[in-house]
Amino acid sequence: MKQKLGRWIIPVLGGLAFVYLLVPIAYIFVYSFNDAGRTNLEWRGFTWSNWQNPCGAPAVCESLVNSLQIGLLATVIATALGTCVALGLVRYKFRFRNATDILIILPLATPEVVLGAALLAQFLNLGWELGFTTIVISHVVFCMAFVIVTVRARVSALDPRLEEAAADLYANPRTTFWKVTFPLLLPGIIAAAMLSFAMSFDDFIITNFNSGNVQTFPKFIYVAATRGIPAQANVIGSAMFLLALLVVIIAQIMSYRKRKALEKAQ
Amino acid sequence: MDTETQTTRRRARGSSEGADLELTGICKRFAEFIAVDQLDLVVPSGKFFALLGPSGCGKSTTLRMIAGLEAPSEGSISIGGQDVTELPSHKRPVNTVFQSYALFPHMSVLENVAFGLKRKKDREAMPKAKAALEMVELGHLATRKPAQLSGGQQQRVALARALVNRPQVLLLDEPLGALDMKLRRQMQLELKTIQTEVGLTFIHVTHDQEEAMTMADVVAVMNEGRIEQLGPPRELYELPRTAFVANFLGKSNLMRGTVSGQEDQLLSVDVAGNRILLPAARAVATEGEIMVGIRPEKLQISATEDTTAGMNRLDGIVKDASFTGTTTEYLIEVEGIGLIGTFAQNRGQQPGEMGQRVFLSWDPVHTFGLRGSESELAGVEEA
Ligand SMILES: Nc1ncnc2c1ncn2[C@@H]1O[C@H](COP(=O)(O)OP(=O)(O)OP(=O)(O)O)[C@@H](O)[C@H]1O
Ligand SMILES: [Mg+2]
Repeated sequence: MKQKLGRWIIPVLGGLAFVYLLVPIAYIFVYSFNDAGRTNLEWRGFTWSNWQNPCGAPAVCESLVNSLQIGLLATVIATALGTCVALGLVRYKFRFRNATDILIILPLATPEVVLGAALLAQFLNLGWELGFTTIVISHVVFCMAFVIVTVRARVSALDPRLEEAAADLYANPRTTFWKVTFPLLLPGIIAAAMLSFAMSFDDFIITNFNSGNVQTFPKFIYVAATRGIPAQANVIGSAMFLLALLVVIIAQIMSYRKRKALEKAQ
Repeated sequence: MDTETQTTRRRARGSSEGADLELTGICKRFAEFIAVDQLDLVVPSGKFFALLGPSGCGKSTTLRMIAGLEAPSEGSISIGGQDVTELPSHKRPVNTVFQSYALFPHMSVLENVAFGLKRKKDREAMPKAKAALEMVELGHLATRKPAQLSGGQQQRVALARALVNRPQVLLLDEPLGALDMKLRRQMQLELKTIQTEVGLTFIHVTHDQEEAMTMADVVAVMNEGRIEQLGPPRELYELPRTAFVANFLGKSNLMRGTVSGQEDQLLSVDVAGNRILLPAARAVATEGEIMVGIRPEKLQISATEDTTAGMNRLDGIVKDASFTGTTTEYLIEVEGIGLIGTFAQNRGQQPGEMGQRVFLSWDPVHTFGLRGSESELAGVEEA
């Protein structure tokens, strides 16, 4: 009896936890089909119209495009700079290296409100107009800290003897970097870039301080929440979720195929 | 094969020949620690040179300096008469088979092997790489990633990856350590063939004495960052100049004694009351307290005393006799000297049993003399 219970308890609890995680997403998905009027809070009937016309509500798509642009730009800058810093931190010995290590994690450890306010104070001092540029700069700050931490772990795990082997096989430092170091770091760099993008796309607090009157998607939702979020926001949210799901599935299929191909090769 | 055909064959292959390698006064310090100490070494072009020594004696460090992966703290390195001390690794005509293989994990086996040729913009990089893989019997695994190979297979890929470039100097850091006996012998033959045919200069680091002795033209025994002795394998074995070499390369019986006289180029040494003769030319020190050495296989063991004139003689009690099939190994306790090891070929006779008194004799020409200040245990544990 006891054993039977034990056998059930893990799947049941696991299932519940899973449901708990997915309920909000399911809610968003279902309500993206709601024939909403002014507010999308109660179910008023099924419709395709939100999906057919995702930009129907005012400013929804504008803010989305802004967020995507900011996310991409901040990610590219943060990933490039962060990777260089990570390489430098691991490969070169210099004074205060340990202190630098701590300083780099600081933007991640600082409360977002503090970081946002500090950046704002700086921009005001410099007399810069708040807008697209200041948002990108702010995002690069915390994204870069994140990229450094992620890529640095990867660089530390990289066997320096591989680069030596490349040099021994007539590869100059540049070729060594592009043929050996970079490909080996690539998975870490991609992971860092993806998380960077997600963090930038998601950020509300720091953005809110430094955006002036530029609308980002999180900002739009936050403001809309007081008046009632349009169902189009649910559509966009669901679409992002489905996109992410698709990426995961494709990755799984590819790794499965690769494994099969290798098994065949053996 | 005469030299003329050899040269034509080399030309036909269109490959570079080996080059002289010269290390002058090389030192390598890591902070306070001295890894390599005042190393002078000349390896003539096309020679197979083996570096033998206990773990941590500086073999890999020496190779890394030749490859340009580590800058010497002092001294200079030249290849084919050209000073390469300041030349970066990728510009040196040297390739290494690394102790840790260091295969590129993101490339297939074939791409790994072709890497060096591609850097040199060799048009036939791929076919040459394939041929090199065939040579190490891994042609069928060309598309695999290194992680999907066994240790021995990885080692062979590392070997192919370096050999395919036909460098003037090839550095091998224990390249056969992970192979089983059969494959090891096969690879040894293969290496030796390539080396003689193409005339490359090989620097081969190994723990395996037999490997060093059978393959190398010149063997150097290294200890604590210094070369203890260097020479052709036979010379090194027959006439060790330090206790470390005597013990590290094969086994030796070392006995302390005092020189009591010299006549006709023969030293006579008093070893615990026994008179031992040895050619003065085979002794490093010829006065005062010295150490007398003799290899176990040079000793004759018998139940009756050998009375031939001019032989060295000792007698003692059999403490241990272990039968190994082709031979029986004996440990004999000699009064005032200690345990002496020897063995007897199994020819059906049995010269001694446990606890029995036996007689040892040997021809003085096999005896060698070392400095008395040395420890008779130097190099024993390491071997
Ligand atoms: N980068 C380094 N920093 C400090 N000490 C080092 C470094 N590299 C090597 N050593 C030291 O130098 C000595 C020689 O090392 P080396 O790798 O040359 O030994 P080895 O003869 O190749 O030994 P093994 O047979 O175990 O491979 C060792 O005592 C090692 O600890
Ligand atoms: Mg080593």
